[in-house]
Amino acid sequence: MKKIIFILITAAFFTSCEDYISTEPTTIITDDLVIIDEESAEQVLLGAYSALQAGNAYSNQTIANPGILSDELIHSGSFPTVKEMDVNQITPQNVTLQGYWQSYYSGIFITNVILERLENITVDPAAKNLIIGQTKYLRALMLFDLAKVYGGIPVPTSTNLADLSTIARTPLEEVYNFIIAELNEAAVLLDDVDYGTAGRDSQDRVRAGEWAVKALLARAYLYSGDKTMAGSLANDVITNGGYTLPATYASVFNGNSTETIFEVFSSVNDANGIAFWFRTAGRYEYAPSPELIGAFEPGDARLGIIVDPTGSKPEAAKYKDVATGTDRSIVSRLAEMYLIRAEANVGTAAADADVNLLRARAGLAPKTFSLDDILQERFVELCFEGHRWNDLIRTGRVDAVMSVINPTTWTSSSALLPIPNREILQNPSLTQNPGY
Amino acid sequence: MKKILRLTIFSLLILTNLSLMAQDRTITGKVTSADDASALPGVNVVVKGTNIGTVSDVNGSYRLAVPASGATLVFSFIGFKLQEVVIGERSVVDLSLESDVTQLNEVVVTGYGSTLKKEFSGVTSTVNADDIAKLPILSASQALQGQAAGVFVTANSGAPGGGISVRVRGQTSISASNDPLYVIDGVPVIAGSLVQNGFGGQTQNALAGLNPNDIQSMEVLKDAASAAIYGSRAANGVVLITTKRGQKGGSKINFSAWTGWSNPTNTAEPLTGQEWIDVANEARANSGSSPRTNAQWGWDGTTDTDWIDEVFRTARTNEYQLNMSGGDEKTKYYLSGSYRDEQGVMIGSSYKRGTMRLNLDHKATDLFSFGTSLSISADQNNRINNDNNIYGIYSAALLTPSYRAVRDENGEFVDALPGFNTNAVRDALLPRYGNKTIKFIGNFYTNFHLMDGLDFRTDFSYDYNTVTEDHYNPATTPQGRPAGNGNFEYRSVGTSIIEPTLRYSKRIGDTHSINAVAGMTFQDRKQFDNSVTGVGFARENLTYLNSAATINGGGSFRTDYRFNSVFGRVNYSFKEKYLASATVRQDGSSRFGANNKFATFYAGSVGWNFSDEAFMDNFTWLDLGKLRASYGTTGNDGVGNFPWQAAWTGGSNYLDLPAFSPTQIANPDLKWETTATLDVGIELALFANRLNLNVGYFERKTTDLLYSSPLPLTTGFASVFKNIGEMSNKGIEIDVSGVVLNTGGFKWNISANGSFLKNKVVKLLDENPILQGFSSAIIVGQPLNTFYGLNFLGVDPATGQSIFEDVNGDGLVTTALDSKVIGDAQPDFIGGFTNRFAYKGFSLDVFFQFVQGVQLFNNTQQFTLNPGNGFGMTSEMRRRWRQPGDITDIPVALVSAGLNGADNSRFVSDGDYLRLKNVTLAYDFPTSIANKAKLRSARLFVTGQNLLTFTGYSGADPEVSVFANTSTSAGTDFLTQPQNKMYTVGINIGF
Repeated sequence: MKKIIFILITAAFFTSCEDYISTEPTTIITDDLVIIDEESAEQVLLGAYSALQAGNAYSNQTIANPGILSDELIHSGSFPTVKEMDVNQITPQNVTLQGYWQSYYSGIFITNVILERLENITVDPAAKNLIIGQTKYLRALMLFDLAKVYGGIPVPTSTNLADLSTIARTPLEEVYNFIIAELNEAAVLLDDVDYGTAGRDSQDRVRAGEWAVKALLARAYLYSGDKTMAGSLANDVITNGGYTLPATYASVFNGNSTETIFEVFSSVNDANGIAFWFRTAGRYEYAPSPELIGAFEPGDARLGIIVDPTGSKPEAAKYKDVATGTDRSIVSRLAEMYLIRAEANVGTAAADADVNLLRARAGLAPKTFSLDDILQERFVELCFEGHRWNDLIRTGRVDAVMSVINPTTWTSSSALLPIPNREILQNPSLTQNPGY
Repeated sequence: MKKILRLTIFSLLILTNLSLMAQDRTITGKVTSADDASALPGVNVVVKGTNIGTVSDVNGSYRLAVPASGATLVFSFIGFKLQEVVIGERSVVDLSLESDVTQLNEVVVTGYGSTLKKEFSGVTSTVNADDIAKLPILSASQALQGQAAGVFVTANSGAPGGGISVRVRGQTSISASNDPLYVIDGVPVIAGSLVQNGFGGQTQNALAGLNPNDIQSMEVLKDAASAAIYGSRAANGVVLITTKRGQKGGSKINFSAWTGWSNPTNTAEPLTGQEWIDVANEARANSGSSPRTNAQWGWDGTTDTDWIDEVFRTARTNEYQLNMSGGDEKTKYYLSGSYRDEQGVMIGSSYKRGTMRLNLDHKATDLFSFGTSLSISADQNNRINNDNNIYGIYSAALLTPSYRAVRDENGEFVDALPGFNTNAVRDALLPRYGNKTIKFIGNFYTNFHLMDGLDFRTDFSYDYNTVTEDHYNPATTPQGRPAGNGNFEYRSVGTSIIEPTLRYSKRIGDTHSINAVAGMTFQDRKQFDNSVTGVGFARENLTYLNSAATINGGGSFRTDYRFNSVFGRVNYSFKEKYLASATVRQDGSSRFGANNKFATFYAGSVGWNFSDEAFMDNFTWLDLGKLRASYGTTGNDGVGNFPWQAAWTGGSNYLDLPAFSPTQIANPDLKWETTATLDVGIELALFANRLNLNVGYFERKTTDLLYSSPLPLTTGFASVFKNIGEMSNKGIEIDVSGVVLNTGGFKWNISANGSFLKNKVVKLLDENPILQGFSSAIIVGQPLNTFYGLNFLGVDPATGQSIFEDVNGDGLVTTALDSKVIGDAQPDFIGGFTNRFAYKGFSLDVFFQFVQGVQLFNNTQQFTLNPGNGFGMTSEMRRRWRQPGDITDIPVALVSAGLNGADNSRFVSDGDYLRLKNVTLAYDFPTSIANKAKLRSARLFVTGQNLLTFTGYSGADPEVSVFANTSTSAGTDFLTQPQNKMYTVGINIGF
């Protein structure tokens, strides 16, 4: 009897247990479920926007790198990798820049997932246009931010692992052509899009609509050398976008300014770290350079954006919230459009009038402008917004300026950053930029 | 000391009653060894059929009150045959105990059971209670250091309660855990670190919740035959910890207390303030800049702060232990409590721990018994920032130049390190990084004796850990600026296990002995994490988050892990001469890919006690000679949960709306790493067991290595988890112990162990070096933890610049093309040896531990020998190159070090060391004296830990690892706190 009971007990235990070990993840969703309808596609689109919020993107590097690489910012912090950028002696092993590359390609992957999977599900055509338009804008912006510093770059347009692992660099000119084509397409898809309910509410500045696309398009044309188209697009935004310059310069950087065309949203949840990197209350990795401080004319109200400009610790005060990170990093604003239109029309009264609008707000007397003068105006108006490095490069001034800043370490090949060494090792199709 | 005395007296008062018993007649006597007539201390003498008993003193003498009914005395002692003696009318019973030459009674604890040592054909290392009790250690794993052949133990830093890495026979894995499986009283427990916040690389050690004094023995299962019963978790070896249980006999109470003083073993010597300024100006001059004045540097011309001195202190540690044990035929108990209060040698750090344990066994009927092992521990670790972290205290102390002051003229703390605004002293004292860990392990078993030799036992256990991290950074510290911030994290990990087993043990005459077990495991682990952070604290004394202006972050998280297996093992011995065993285990785990949910592991072993053969009869000096061999497989599933699924997380958001981001790529084929292990060895006991020798050779081959294989970042991902490679570990393990002298009451024992290890990465998908950590790389054909960088050939006497090997011969030196293997942190030879001297009541233990054939990457020097970055510099800078013709190994001072500062062999240093790990001098009072004080025993001891270290290492202490517990970048010293040396004094009394 005892034996029978024992055998029964044993048999009850010794059974197969496939069910026992099948547990479901509670904090992730599997890939096949990520885009199944319009709502889930929208959530992934927000994921692509969210990629811009990375410290490797608009919460630090995209804004600060063009400053620290150029004569706009100096290195007041401690990261050796940032020091390398400050002295323009960058190694391909620079992990900070590897993070920049990684963040952007990770964001681009999300945009490609959206564009591919959207074709497999049924979505209302209008909603679909909206999602595709924004996605194409985001992909173009990310490619643009990469091309600005690396020159020719890989341009992924699929999510196929094998293809992406062996992708080669597309020459810079073709990259710009691609960006311009994509933005033109997005401009049509997002024509007259209004995310807000009444007028321009905060959603319109933190999501890409028609004008964000066109503002970026103006910049893309400018960088690619087509000043006519750049001027024309800038004119379209100025004339038809409905954006206005607020009375004081400082108020532009409080978020949701009437001048802002597109800025990266940030709340306490996002905790934009940019102020932390710029401010003495934070890490103070970057400080305004003496060259920048010297570039402000006497009486320029815009100098107010630099705290203690003549002291031992000047700091860039466009970003303020060290503690909770609610600063919004600006991608495009109206002043840039005026400056692009002026640059396109340089030497004309109209161009002078555009720039003098900005000078008037800064409390400066009107004047006439050469191309050099317009660049000088861009230097001070757009400081700490990630423009200076490419303004020097695209106008051919980078050698002249930077060889004075870093006489021992500057070489003309410093104008293009090295492709991260890790990528060169992993992907034999990638070639390194000269000089590394 | 006063505290200890007070406690002692208090305990005495309480416990005196217990020694008052009915006494009828007193028997005295002396126990000696039949081998050499020497006195035998520590022999148990018990009146048969009662709990009345005593233990012989250092002279072998005993004195026992025997009731009128008592007729027989039972003498027992490990290593000797148990003997019963009829008292008769005698009042003096002397006895000569015969040693148990066959060691029949010596038992080896194995998974799910135990077996006689002579009949065991696997390979284990044992550390016993005696060896553990000597060490004033916090965590059980430290007791393995230098004591168990083939086990490489490194305390990753000198911080209290810090992580400890334990590697059994090298490393089998790159990505999965390399920690052994810890099994406490049959319960596989969570080890490793449970904290959510590391400070730099430093983690904590979950095993710290186990009181080492509760441990009866630790058995490290090393070969496949021993470990395969734990299947997919056994590839890194298994540490079986058996806690003390009650014995039949009178109640025994033990109390011990000790106090200790700790200091760092060694620290760096910084340059003086003046020297620092001189070097910095020299660097500017060499780089074409004009020197700065003192005022420009911000130096008052006199300040010379020794920051290292400012942050270290002589730290006190006190520990108290109390345990009570005993039992009768039916019930046995062991109850213990302990309290430890440890100051960190670095200001601001401390550690406190209390533990309790109850082990109970009850035999209800001849057929049914049950019991429990319950333990609970609570510790409070007040941590400081450290290591691989610029806010770290040791980091900031090393990196702040000595010309900077701690306080200003008003006595207020200043931001001392330019650019970082840290102040090592302030930042140690003001923030709060409190960690509280509560660990509960409960095990409850029932045992049905089904028939002769057959038992059905079921273990129900629960291992529950909670870790509370309570952190606050005030606004006055750089991490708290501008308004103060705090975070609070809570993690709980609970594992329930049910293990029914059938155990069969049968001896048929003198011929056959069978020992078998079959069972199942159901394991369910749930982990919950919660956290909340806030910023903006208005008042200095309001530091909890309900005073925060903004709650700016928080989250909760749960993850599950389930595990299920079936296992069995048979041991067979024929006439105790021919031995064989076979083990099989099938495991299923939720962690693995859809295509590979289950895997089977097996092992077999054979042994031959050739000394029992008739033809060996003439070799009387040979007590035991055994040849053994084993082969089998074990696995490693120590990766995270769900690593095989392509997944997106909802953790990102935009516009305060939920958003999805990808986290990983799918690999449904993901499976266990499998390690096949071959062992052969010989065990000898010679000259009446005076010399024991155990030599073994092993080869382990790990296939299907799990690796987070790097992808080009253009794919959108950095890596994908794959089973991609092979690794091999080979080695020789030697254990020797012997009695050198045993005359005139003087006894000198030596025990030593050593192991030679060779680890090699045999195959990877990628032939290119995979860079890890700071300067480490995984390279096919090289051991793990290999250092990779430029080969430094010397300093050019003409220019003061580093000369590097131009590996590819292209005339240029670049880190990308000219890096090569420049060392490895994989030791070639490790071990330890103990000399034990005993004379009358005195005993002296001297324990050395060594590591040979290891290199370390002194990344700290990349900072402290680089004048350009404004950091503190150490004394090596005094021999820097200054002018053409200087012959030195320290390059010219420059503002930008360029390649001089790159990862290169200048920063790789030999990390070999020989360490006087422990010296213990103890005195046991003779029983006669102890008894007068109503004590069963009394012992006084002083110990020293890490008193001497012989090493050529260029940094402070060779026992460092910044990437705690990583498998691939061990041996990097990046601002890592050195180990401590400690002196203790204490007492041990028994009632």
